[in-house]
Amino acid sequence: MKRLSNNRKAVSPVIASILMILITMIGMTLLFAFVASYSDNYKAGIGSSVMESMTIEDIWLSPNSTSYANSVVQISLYNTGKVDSLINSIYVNGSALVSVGSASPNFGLKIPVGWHQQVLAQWPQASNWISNSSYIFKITTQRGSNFEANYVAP
Amino acid sequence: MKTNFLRNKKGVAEIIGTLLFIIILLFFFTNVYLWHDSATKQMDDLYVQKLNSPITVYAYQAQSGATILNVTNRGGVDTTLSMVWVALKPSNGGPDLSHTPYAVSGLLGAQAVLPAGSSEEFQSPVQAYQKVLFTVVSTVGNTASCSYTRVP
Repeated sequence: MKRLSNNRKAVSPVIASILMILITMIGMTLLFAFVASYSDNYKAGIGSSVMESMTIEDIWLSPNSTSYANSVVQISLYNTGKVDSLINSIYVNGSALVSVGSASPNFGLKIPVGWHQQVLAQWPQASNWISNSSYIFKITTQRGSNFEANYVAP
Repeated sequence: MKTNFLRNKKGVAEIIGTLLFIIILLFFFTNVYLWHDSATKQMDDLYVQKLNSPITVYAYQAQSGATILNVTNRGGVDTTLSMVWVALKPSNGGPDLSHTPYAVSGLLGAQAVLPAGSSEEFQSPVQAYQKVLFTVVSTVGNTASCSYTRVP
């Protein structure tokens, strides 16, 4: 028995095995943390763009006005998708509109699933709507989805 | 040659290690793949439902003089109506006078569900003697519009 405790042979293989297991465990933990974080970010971000669906249900040019003297438009959106959407920007015929009152092209408007939301936007420069003109409205979300609607000014 | 190759055990650990590494990586990323597959299937179901439940709407004047809206589900699956937009048009052109949304559940009660191939009628929330554009929206995002002018 005494001989066993005094025998130092094979101590280093045991330590080496323990060290190897420790290093493997640390490596696997790091790899798992990276993959878990990556998949969570993917699911919350661009990955869930497939679950976005938006309906532009109404467009009202120059709301509450008797003439097209202003460039304001009221757009009503309906989130028919499976995830909440964040409206980033709105384009008309390729030009970015700005939020009324803030002059920012970044709307940052969150629309939960199944909600209807109205947005007020306007041209950044002095430019009015023209009767019988066709306008293509494009809504862009934070995840990169685009939703378009064609509208002819009455 | 073949015997030497089979007897040579050098490099076996590297091959096993690589195989294990690939298996572990596949195990981790299967999670992402399965989630993406499930998300795509959910949206496919939504698009199929949308394609199979187109709606149409027309308006007419009842004998009482009230404007009645008739909405028909032309598809093969049931649909639920969400909103009716009423846009009042000016008589001399220019911007619309008003755009007002009305929840269909408020107009139809609990019968906002429109079974496949059936029609539902309800009274227009607006009884104006001017040109009106009605737009009906379903919960899957289908829309139908009709223009109507009530006769005095």
